[in-house]
Amino acid sequence: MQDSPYIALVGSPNCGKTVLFNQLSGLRHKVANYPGVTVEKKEGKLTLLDQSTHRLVDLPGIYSLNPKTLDEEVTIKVLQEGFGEGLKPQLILFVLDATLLDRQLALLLEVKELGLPMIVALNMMDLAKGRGLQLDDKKLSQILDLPVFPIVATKNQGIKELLEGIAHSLSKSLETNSSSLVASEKIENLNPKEKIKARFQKVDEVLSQVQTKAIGDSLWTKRLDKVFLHPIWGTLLLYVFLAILFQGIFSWSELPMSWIEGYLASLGNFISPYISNSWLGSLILDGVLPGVGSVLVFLPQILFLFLVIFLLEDSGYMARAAFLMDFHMKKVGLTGRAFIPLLSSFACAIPGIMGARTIENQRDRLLTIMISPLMACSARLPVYALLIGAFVPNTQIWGPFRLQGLVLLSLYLFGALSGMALAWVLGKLMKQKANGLFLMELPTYKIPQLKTVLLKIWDRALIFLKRAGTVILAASLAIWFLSTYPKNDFGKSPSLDQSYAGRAGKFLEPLVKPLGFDDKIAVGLLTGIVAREVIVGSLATIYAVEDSDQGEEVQIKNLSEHIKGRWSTATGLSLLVFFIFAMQCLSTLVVVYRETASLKYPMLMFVIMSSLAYVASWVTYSIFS
Amino acid sequence: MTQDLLTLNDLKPGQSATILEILSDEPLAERFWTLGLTPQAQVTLAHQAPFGKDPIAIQVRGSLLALRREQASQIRVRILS
Repeated sequence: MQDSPYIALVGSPNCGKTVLFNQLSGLRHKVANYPGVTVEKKEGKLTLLDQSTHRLVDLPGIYSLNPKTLDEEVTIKVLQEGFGEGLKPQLILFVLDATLLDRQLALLLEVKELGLPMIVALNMMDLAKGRGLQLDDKKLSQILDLPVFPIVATKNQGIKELLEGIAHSLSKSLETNSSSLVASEKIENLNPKEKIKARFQKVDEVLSQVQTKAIGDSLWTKRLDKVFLHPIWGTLLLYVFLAILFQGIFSWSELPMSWIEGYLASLGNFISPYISNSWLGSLILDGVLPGVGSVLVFLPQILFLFLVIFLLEDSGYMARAAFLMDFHMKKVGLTGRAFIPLLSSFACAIPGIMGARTIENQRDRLLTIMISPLMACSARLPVYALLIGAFVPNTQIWGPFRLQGLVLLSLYLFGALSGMALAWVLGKLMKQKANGLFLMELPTYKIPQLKTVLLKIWDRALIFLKRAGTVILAASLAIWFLSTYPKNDFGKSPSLDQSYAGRAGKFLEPLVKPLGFDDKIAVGLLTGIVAREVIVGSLATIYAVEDSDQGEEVQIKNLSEHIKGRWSTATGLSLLVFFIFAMQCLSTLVVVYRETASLKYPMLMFVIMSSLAYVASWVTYSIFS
Repeated sequence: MTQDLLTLNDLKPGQSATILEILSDEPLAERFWTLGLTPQAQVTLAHQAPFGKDPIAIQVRGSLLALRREQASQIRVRILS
């Protein structure tokens, strides 16, 4: 499969490539694990009108063939050297944003110089016409010496003709005339800047021939920017959006969460008569259900956060947010660009770290990666929710504000501010100094397309479910095994103290005692190194095993009540603070290793965050005990 | 103030200018060119960020580009209108 021919989607960022990709490949597509914000190579199946299927690869958006960021490098490598075994695309489907012809035609000319077979999808024709563009696409095709198909990807217009065009080009496997349009002199003889200039001159020349009326400004973008980039209201609105976002994560996800809880509980009730009193029953009721279930419950919150992030991105607002946040990021030696991956890190550090690929400066990129795990990711929510529910009284402070909510908010803020402080400190220690480069395009506002957003969220849900089904399931099973074995002399399960887990906990207890943690929490933390939320499942499993020793009913819901009765408030708060900092996520470390191609950074990350967690926890415990 | 020493930073909101020269080092200069900021291109100052009026957003070749004053100071212009 890797070495079979493929069609590559190429274009500038925000040209509507992803929308077209989804229209062409339907609902079936593969993404490599943990895709960044359209940074990974996405692959789907394109079905032509004669029902023949072809590989379709969505390459990250580029501004030129001279890469400035890592995601651009991916695309350029594929175009110049080919995939894997040097297989170049059999056809380039170039997506051209009709509202940005002035600039994107230059990229088209540059890609054309590669001499690969190529056809052009002239996208967003509806918007361009709405803004007054009058253009002769036949003449454009003639001058470019390439097939050109006007389409509206979001409305599925012109797709049939495009598919016919693709079929036609594939059947002819025609060579594109690479002798570029920059006539009179050979473009190869020019230096890089002269080439760019020559291409832009050609663009202007082409446009003057094919345009009968040039495009006007996007009035909507002008109007909206007057509000969203307003010196006072713009900033205020950004803060309001962020407040609504985080408020929404907690309150609007409650209903679907209670559904999932309900299903899991009735599932447990349903199967328990059939399997109780066997080791399998114990495995499922004490191991799998509490472990995986306690994590699955947080799926709605995670997906809600991604929904908002995708909507902000696809609408064009995210770039404005980066523009407004640049001032704050500058103070700690970062740029506004880092704001986007860092916001994603509130859902999960992994897409955040991968999203950092779009940062041009290597120093800024590394700093962003190093602090992204300090943004409170959704895996912390189960832990925060459990501990706050158990140890913080829900007293009303003022109006709709309650103490529990405020504590949660301050945990988020504290994590983010610590991240900023860490970026500042690490930045000072780095040899390479900040170059202060902030340069990004602010795309026109667009109405996000539901299908595109839902598909992206679906990818996220799959990734999360995969994790719950693999990493967390395995961890739950391991905990169950370690806490119910070895069997004692009578062939029965041991008391928790005698189990492997109990012994490991006892061994670790002296290390965590200054933080107010007992042996059971130590076991939880140990398993939580795999993934933060595992500790909730682990604790649930440990207490479930312990309770079933005493013949009590297993109930995940009561975990909060359970620990409330067992731990002191100081212990609960200390653990809460521990989770702000602790690097309890194996997948993050693996991704950092992959993205930095160095063991140094994941190791450094683990040491810094663990030390911060230990000290902060110790301080918290000392204050409250 | 002579025309020769003006940069993008001297533009007032809504004011347009023609680019004369990009003084930045490579590879940044080439990046500017790629984004349409080439000599003779026309630019308009569209927005300034709230705090310290930095970064700014400029209109060039139909697109809106955000950049910091630090970089804008490396782009020499002739102010129109």
